[in-house]
Amino acid sequence: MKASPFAIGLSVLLTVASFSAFASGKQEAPSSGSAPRHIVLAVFTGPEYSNMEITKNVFEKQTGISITIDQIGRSAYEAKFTTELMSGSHAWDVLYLQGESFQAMAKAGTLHSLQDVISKKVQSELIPAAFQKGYYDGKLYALVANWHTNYYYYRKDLLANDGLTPATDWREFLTNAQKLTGPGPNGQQMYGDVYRAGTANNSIHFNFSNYFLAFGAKWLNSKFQPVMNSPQGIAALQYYVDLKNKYHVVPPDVAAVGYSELNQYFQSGRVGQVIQWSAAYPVLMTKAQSPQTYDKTGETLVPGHHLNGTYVRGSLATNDMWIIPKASQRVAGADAFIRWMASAAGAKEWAINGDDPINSLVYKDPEVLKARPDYAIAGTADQYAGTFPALPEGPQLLSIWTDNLARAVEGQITAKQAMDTIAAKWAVILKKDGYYN
Amino acid sequence: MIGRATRRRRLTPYYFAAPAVIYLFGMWIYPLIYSVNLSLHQTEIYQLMTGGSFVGLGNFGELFQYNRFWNSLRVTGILTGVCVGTEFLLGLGLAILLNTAIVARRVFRAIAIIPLMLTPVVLGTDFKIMFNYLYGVVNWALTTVGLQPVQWLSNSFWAMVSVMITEIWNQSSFVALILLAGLQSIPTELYESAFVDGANNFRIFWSIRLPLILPMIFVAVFWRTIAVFRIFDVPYIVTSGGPVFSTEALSLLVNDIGYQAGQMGLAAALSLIMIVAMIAFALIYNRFFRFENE
Repeated sequence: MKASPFAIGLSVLLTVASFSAFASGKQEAPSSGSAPRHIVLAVFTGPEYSNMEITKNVFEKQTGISITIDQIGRSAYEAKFTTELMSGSHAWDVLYLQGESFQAMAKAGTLHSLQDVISKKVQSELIPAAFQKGYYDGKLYALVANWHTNYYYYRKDLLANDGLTPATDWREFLTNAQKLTGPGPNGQQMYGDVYRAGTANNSIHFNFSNYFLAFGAKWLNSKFQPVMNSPQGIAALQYYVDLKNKYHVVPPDVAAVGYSELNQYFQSGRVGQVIQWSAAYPVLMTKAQSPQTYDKTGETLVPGHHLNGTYVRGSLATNDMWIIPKASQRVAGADAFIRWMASAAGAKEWAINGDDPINSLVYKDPEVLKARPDYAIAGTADQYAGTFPALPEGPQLLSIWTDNLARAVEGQITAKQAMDTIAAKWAVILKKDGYYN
Repeated sequence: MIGRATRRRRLTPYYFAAPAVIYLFGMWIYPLIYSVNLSLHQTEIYQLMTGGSFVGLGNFGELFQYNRFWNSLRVTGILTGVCVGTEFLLGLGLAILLNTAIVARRVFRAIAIIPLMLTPVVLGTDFKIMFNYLYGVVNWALTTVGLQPVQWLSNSFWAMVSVMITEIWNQSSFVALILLAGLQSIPTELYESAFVDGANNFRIFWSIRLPLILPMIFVAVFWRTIAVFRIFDVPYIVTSGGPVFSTEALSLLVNDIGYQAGQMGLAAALSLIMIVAMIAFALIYNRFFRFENE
């Protein structure tokens, strides 16, 4: 049989088609000269995506640059952005990066420098502690998109019914929780608190670390030595464990409670107090999202702790960031986005629509304060906020932290064993990587 | 000497096979080689581009000393055994039912494959909501009849049960379809002869149906064992491997080590262990359950 040109041509066509199946999609030609009129921005599902859907319209009007948002499932986000950044994909021009991964991604050389993107004038408007988080090895690679901290939300009516007041320290918090726990007005079981105790997406870390910091504990000392197993750290974890296993003031299914479930417990009126993100304010305190409880809910600073005669405060802040992947082919457009989001104009839109930018001017803007009544305490809360150690080894350290905390809450190990194990494992990693001898 | 026409004729099959070979190389062989190389290095996530330090079999040694590895192996073993066994029994029952001449049999057959239509993410999300302690419909049903609510997602035992229920509900139809095909291929004359000889239903099932569908059972059990061994989506969505790793199957541990903890070399080593285990299972299974054509 003679090999026909048709057969050869068909084979070549199929080969080319199989290669094109691996292509990551249609790519615009790199811009030459003027800023591109379009960029692609990636963000995970949730309030940040909802916010961006609104904020981008203002950006597009003011700059003439359109944005396509690539919305990615929250639970798969870390794996997705790691793969995209490491592979040098051109898919995105701006990425909403989780703060815990920033150092690792910067060290891997996957981020575009923002060194000359934000003007000195705008830099002077940014919250210094937050702005510094975007630096790696002396260069700016990220703009903190959200400087979330945590608040103490409480049911004013339930506390008042029992003659209680919002807790100012953890002793009062426990007393309140014990009195609030029991059969509720509808016969349903009420709880004095609800928290996150699971390991999925480091869930327990985002709740417990508030208690940890508010007890006056720290992760590392100034020499990068682990000190979370200090008396304060162990006491904080023991308190957290006892809320569930000794006092039974939290629901039994806390291991399965995530951010949304925590809100749902509060929205359904089953919980009297909760430590939750500032971003939950629109969820818990607006009629649209919490019709049963919004007008009965108050918010204030996370309770403090009396430590050696001193009253200490603390809460966890996270610093998710806007970054530009090094492989982006529309850097000029991405730079324009970063510049705008850093400015008072962009930060204002971001704030009005529910998030917490780091341009300090928005916290004094009357229009913003009207839309965000929670900002009345935001400035004060920010003073006490602390972040998880920002190191390239962050993901590994966080995994060890989370795993052992969860084991302690489940009763598999004691609080002391958990903290000692964490300290020992962190020490191995930090010594190996040369942080100390 | 080979003529040009002959040479061209001999090369034609290779032209047609080229796309598949390229695909195979690009999507399977090269990643496998890359994964083997990665497993021999201690590579943090930020070292993927630059490469980590060579540690030989060090990653494998570290895994064998890692408690969570043995826990995940145990979880995976239990999931595989219980899910495959239950799916087989339910699938066989369903297949027999669908093979029976009942009214609206075609409708029941269509309904029976509905679980297979759901994607794992949708399936997992639905069951996660149904098993929710506070507002899930399952606990609502339990409390309605006077029983206590169950911590389906936050108790180690019940979380495993939740994952199993979700997976079994989804895949029993798959087993049923395979076995149904086998049942339908049995000549009806065999049943008639058996009835004439005085055999009852149980005897017919045990001596005729079961032996004749054994090859189908072999196929169904084999594929389901491989599928459940490498299960990821259902436990990831329903319980995320919790509470405290009680439902963390091996695939979830790979994901956690690789993407959460950033230990890519270790994750690659665990992936290879899984591959070797599945290959070993396939070889042993084929060796002991081979059916020769009569």
